Amino acid sequence: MKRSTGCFPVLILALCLCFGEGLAQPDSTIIAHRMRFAVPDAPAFKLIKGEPGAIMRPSSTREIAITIAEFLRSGGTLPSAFAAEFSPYLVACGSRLTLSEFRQSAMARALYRTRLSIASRREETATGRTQVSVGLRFTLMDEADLRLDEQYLSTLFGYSDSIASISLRIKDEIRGPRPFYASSADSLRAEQQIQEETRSLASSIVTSRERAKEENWSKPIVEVGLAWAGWSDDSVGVQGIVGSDLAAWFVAAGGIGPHAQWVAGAQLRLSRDDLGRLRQLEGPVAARVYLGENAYKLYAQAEAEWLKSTADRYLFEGGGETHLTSGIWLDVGIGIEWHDGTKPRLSSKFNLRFGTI
Amino acid sequence: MKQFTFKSEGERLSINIQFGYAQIGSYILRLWEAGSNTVLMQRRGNNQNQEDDTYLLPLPTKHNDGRMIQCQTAVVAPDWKPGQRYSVRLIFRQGESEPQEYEVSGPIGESHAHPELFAVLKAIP
Repeated sequence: MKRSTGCFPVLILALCLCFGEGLAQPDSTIIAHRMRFAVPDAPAFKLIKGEPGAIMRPSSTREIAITIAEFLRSGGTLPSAFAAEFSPYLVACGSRLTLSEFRQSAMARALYRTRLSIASRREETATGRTQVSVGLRFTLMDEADLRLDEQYLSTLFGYSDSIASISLRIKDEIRGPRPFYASSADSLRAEQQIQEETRSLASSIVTSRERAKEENWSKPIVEVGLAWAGWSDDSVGVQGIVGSDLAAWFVAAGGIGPHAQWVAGAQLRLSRDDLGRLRQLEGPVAARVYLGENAYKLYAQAEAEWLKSTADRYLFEGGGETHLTSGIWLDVGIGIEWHDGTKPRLSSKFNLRFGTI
Repeated sequence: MKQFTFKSEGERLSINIQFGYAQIGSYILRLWEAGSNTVLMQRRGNNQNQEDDTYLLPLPTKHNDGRMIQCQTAVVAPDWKPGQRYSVRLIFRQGESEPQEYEVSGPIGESHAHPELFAVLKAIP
């Protein structure tokens, strides 16, 4: 994440777009899409970005999620930071994971939700030093998982049974022997009826899902993350990688009414002291409140960080996230940051997140 | 078309249907007579219950040579997001012989996917 005062115009424009488009989408609510609410925030990326680090947003598991950031830092050409997060179990065994295994086995759910992240970030200095990081994220609790809602699943099974029947009926009629119709008008009417039934079922599935998310979104979710970071003098680590940081996160989230979510987090970070020893323990705590709708939302955040290397740091930040198109999010923020005994300064961020393949 | 092979003098055949990626799945399974419009067997089900969705094919085993299995499915993602996938697998067994599998997979739409699987049964001496 870039923190500078140089991208204000872009930031303000983006925020204006967020508000404008948000008004044009009255049907979309934050509660209807809670799982997409949390854009992936990989622990590995969090550690090497050097941004205020207590909030690692909880999110549901995806096969792979990619974040590319710091376009502005690299002059708008190539991003200087890249991260990917994926569920090894989902990638390797997802096609064999049945619904009943997922529901019955705590181990299967734990493996499914365990995500591995990798990240790299190139420094701008003449040294060309590259930071690399590896992280793991575990979901300790996710009561909002829709696959655990039996009533909702029963509804969906009814729809899937009907779709299988209609699909077979359509194919039987195409392949023959065709049912007897008295006239071509009757045949056309029958075809239209099948199409309407299919559309109606598809629409009912989407509506049921949104309703289920509405009912489940405020249920608690708790995650922990671990990450290790190091640096190398070259971009691929041929000259060796020197470990620089270890970090652990704890994050919990829940709902506040129908249009808001709270997220609270803490981080513990072990880094190298002035003598190069891995002994410096410090970390921030933070709370963030999201307000709005899924695709267009605002947040406010307060954070305090107790540092051994420098004076303690405090941050108040506001910003927004907008869903640009399928799986792509724009994340912008502006805040006031200060260290004990120093003047407050303005900060900003501007990120693109690619939530899914 | 996928081909499942079996020993004509071997044990009874069975077919099993599984849905991956922890998705919801329903199916209609048909066994067609070889070279005919006759449906010998039709079963329907889903992965809601604890039954393992395994069906024994008719006896005598050797008469299944040339018969075709049709499996019309419907898959729904309980928590759909762009990029989510489905997988449907037919597992064909004969006694203790190595099971034979036929899997189709792909991206699942916001409402559902309805892949159809065909496999022909081939007897070997």
